Amino acid sequence: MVMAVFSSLFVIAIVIGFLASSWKRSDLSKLNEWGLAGRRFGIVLSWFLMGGDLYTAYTFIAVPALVFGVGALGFFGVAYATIAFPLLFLIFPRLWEVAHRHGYVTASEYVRGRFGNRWLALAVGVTGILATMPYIALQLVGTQVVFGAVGFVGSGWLTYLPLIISFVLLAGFSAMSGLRASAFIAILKGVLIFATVIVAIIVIPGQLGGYGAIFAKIPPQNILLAAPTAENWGSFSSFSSLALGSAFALFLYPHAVTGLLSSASGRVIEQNSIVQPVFNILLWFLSIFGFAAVAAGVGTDPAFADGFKQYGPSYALLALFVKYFPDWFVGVAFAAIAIGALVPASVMAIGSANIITRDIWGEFVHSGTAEAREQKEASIAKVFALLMVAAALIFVVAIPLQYVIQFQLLGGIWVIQTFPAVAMSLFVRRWLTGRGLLVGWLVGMISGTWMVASLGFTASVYPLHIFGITIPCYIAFASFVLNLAVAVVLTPLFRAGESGRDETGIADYAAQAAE
Amino acid sequence: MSPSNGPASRTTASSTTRSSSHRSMWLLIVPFIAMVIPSFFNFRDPAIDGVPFFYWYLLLWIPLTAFLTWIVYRR
Repeated sequence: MVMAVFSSLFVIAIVIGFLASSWKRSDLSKLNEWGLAGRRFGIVLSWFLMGGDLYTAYTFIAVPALVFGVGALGFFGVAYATIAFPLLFLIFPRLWEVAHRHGYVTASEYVRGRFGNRWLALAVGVTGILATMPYIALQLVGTQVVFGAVGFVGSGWLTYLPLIISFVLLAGFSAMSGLRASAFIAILKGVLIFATVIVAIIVIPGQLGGYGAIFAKIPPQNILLAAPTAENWGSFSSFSSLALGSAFALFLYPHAVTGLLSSASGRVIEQNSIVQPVFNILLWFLSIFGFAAVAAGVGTDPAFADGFKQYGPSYALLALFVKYFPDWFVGVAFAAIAIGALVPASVMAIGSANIITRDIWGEFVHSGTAEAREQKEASIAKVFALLMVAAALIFVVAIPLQYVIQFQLLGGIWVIQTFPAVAMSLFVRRWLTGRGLLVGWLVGMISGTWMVASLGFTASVYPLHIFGITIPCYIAFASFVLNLAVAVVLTPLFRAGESGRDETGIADYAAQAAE
Repeated sequence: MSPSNGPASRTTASSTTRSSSHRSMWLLIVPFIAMVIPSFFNFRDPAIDGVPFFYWYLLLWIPLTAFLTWIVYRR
């Protein structure tokens, strides 16, 4: 029963992906149409697309897993997802405006236009791709966990067969329909995810005797953050810096930028900053389910021992669903997660392909005329989207999961290093220079990677020692502050010799009256 | 690209000032102060329906943040 419901919903999602190419039919051999769906998503499609894109299958599995493991600190995810939206509101409508006016398809293309520095743009683009690769791979891992839980099991290479088939199909509909496929599958994902969480809210606390009974079973030290002492700021500074650092990084990921630029106007992005956070209420409940999994004792239940052995705490939420949902609804919930992986995976592949095409192939490889380049762009991008998915598959099959997670952790630390060039440059005109930003980026990348390496690639919070006080700080945040300081301090040095031309004008960033 | 809905066309005349210097934008600092400094909410009591303060406080700030953003958007 689980398998029948699951498989039918999954097949429906794939079919939607292929059919989506006919929405507002246009010339899909143009990168703007394939890779940004012609920039014409209104608030409804944009809400589903961004929701499906940002709240990935990995998010829905990893956040409850974190709460299951460490308790209150895991709720930094709720704080981060909430404060990310005022940032979206303040910053990114300006990126949409300038990108729309100049036809930019990627953030790095904007950076090239703004600073006239192709090396800075390359740094921004490559950082985005590096951060995305393990992220796509983790979506596949999420799907694989679900496939295993549904009962698609095999031995040897057969273990990977369902995964390989589903991602070949993913690559197929992404290449054929582009971002339209992601948006329309996102509608199905949204409906399924909301249905799953609403049913879980109704069923699970009741089975466990209410929220009071759930919290009564949590070890007291996990219910609150460890309070700071005179020598050590403990969990407080971890919570704050994780929330801030993650919020600053979120919209810099290529899949987020691709989603944003596909909106029909900067106004749609503003509206989305208000209504998108409905998804955060889901995230809150899913985080609470991490506690529910502790209270339900799934971790010590012999029925789930195999799952936990294979997938660790990531199995907590799935075990909870299996324990309390009726059979057929387990199929719906698992389909929600697996389809939940298809949406971000396809946008990530498309967003990375846009970068490779515009900022690497178009800028450094192709030598013909601009017209010749434009004609070839979409077909090049489709090939690279296929390659991104293939690379992620190889990742999952060939590299132990632990390394993929560590790589993804590094990805978050790397991608925030593009914040000064992509986001601050939208507001600050005089105090940033292309070369200063490039040096700052390098300092941020090296210091961030060094801090993670010194912790053996296992943690993202580094104990800073300042004036004899130990301040545990999210490495992304610490290295970002260093990056920004370097970029600004170097400005007077580089401003005189700045050779790049800024092709954007101040008026390009503001919303224009209806044309 | 022409925004087709009413509110968009109503406010576009002032939109350049809205995006750069409107005073109500300072409201958006409030969620950062409220959610990033755990000293404000790292408590068990008062609990609601068995949910400690820490948790329902964070839940409450999700709609409050959206509401503050909406106030800034309207201007």
